[in-house]
Amino acid sequence: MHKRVYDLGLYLDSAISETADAYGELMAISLSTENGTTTATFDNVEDAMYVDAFSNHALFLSIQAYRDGSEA
Amino acid sequence: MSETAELQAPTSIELAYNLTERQVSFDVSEELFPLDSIYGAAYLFVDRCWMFLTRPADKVVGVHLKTKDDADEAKLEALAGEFANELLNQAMRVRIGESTATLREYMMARAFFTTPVQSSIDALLAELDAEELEEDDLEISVPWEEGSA
Repeated sequence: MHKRVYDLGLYLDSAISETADAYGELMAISLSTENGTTTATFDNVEDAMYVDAFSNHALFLSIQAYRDGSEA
Repeated sequence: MSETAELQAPTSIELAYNLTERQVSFDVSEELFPLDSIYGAAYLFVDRCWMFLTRPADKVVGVHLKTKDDADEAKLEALAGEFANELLNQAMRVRIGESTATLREYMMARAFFTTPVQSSIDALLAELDAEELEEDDLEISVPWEEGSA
């Protein structure tokens, strides 16, 4: 089991949820949000690289959303 | 009055390495580098390595870079250095963007909302055409030798 804590000041909650939907076929992901953080728990992980890729994707979507918000 | 400034030795930057995980980690102060510049640098590195951002303290962002392939200490240090350089580059971009925002808005407004002015070359050509038409109403071509005779 792997676990990652994402600070919601850096990662957008919707970006984490969207990433969880996208990676749901590769591993079991459960999210819990409290105190300004979202904790992602990963089960049935065949390759630890998937967890790293998950973080990259969530960061990428968060940055895009941040930029779209800044430009609006 | 003496103008010699007291030079202070630059403080060293501490980078924490985790070689077993092919990872280099360091903290970035948001007071020095705004989040926009941290995101800007991260955006450029997101396809090069695995990235994870943490919040170790208020106004501090923990940057964790993990290489996709095997890496030694020199490669990790180079990666961190490149990220730090890009961080500086992005901070500069943000600052220049802020300082020239009014000028850019003014130029955009001028480009969109002013009537187009005919260029001076077009004006001169139009003037020449007008003069030629005045001299020869029917615009009949005359050989140069006859015209000057």
